[in-house]
Amino acid sequence: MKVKSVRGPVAKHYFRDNQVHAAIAGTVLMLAAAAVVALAPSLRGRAGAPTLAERMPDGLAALLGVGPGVSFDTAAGHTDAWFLSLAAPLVLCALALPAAVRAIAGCEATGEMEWLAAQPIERAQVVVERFVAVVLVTAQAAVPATIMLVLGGGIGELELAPGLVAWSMIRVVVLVSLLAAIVMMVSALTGSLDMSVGVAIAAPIVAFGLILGGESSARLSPVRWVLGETPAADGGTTIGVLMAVTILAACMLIGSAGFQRRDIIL
Amino acid sequence: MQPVVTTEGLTKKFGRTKAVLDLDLTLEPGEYLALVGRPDSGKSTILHLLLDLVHPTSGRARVVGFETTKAAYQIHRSVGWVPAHVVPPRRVTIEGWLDRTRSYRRSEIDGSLRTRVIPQLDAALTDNLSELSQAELGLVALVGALQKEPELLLLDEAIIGMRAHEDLLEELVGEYRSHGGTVLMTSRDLAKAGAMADHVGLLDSGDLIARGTIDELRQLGRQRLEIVFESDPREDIFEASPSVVGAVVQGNVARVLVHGKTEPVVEIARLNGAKEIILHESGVDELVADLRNLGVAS
Repeated sequence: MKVKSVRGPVAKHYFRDNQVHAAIAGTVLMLAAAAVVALAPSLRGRAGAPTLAERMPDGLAALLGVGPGVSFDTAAGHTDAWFLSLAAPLVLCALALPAAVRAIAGCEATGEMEWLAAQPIERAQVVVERFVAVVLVTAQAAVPATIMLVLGGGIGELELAPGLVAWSMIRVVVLVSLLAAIVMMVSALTGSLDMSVGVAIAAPIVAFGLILGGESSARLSPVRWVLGETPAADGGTTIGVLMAVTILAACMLIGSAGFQRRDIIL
Repeated sequence: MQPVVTTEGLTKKFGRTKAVLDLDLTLEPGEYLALVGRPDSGKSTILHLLLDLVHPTSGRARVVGFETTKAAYQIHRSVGWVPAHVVPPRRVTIEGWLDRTRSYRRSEIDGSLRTRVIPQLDAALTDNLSELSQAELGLVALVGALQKEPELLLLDEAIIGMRAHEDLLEELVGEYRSHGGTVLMTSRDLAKAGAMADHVGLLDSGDLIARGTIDELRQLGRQRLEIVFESDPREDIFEASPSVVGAVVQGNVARVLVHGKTEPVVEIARLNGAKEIILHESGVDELVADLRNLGVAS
């Protein structure tokens, strides 16, 4: 008699396995958010701030999320430049991408997969549930910083709408999840640790590098689709987020199918 | 009752390397079979194929009633698996890991085994897995495999892996078998595997060259007897025995090479005043070489 496999335990276990890393990343990100909140009052209305943004090369201004009408001395520009466009994606990438590498290829390289893949679970579950765990760990690490930014409205006069802060952080998590999905797809298809690590390094460099390359290349970057030009100021576009989620789902489908078909590396 | 394992022409190649060749294997319920061979003879690959960790290049395998390539996770529900080298997740306790095994199943698992066995390792259920030796990890994995009451237990190089706790390994496997469990084990140690299992399958270069009890296999190859007599025996003492393929007598010691049953040779020796008879058991290398040279295995 066929019995359906149990859903959820792989995600739960991998979520637990990454708690130490999540705590470290969450703390670093919260401290970065605290610094943003603390510095906000001193930057407000500084005479040189708008000029500084205007003098920046277009690519760098785009990378930092400052643009026409949004400069460092505004609450949105300040938060975009130092936190949403840089600190948050980079810290969360440092958490999520190694976790994505360890999830499949790393697990095969150590030999742990030989036991896990022989448990009564479907191979696709290993890929999808471990990816879900990576997303949850990323979101978990983003929560303290999000609370800090929301509280910053009262404590540090950041004056950003809580909804906009939360939406911006969700989009950062979506962006990082998309990059993690690409890493996991390669990992699941090949089982190659070297290739997975290579993609984990290359993916954020390419994604953020395209922004630096000017407006035409920036349009190709998932950073632009998901975060928009000035994340905290304009809230980005829902279509961009949906596009990222669609690609992410396709990565999971391809990765799961590939992992099912190939041999486990033993 | 249908066999627990059936393979038909099961073949696995890794690039140009042939790991398993045209394997036809049947394992009946309650049977204990040890696959014995040198390193890289394909032993572990057979277990990996039965668990569908690797897919066959050709041929097919059915385990506990399911086709390996079609319903692997159904097979995993009913098969207990202990890999040769156990690598647990980091920062997990013994209990946490055993609970993980339980969490993958819908049905409840008897937890009494762990409370009985783990203290015998001088460990507590709350100890971290990173504190355990490879032999201890192997036994924890065995407890994890046995607690789900599997129809089939697959042990990869368990004799070497759990050498430090060999008695406990034999006790647990014995208990499992007393409830009708079926075991497929791999090993490089012909003598130990032969003593533990009902039957031994001899593997060489991915080819199952012989299968039988350890005594039957030894009789297929050449056995070496060293016989010490009370006084110097005649040089042609063993000529009448058809199973003797060679004999050298030096003083009161005779070294005899036997192909087939040793009992007639032992009987001749006793009648001629043998005071000590030593059977030098062939290792896996010698037996494989013998079977190849004698044409028993192609």
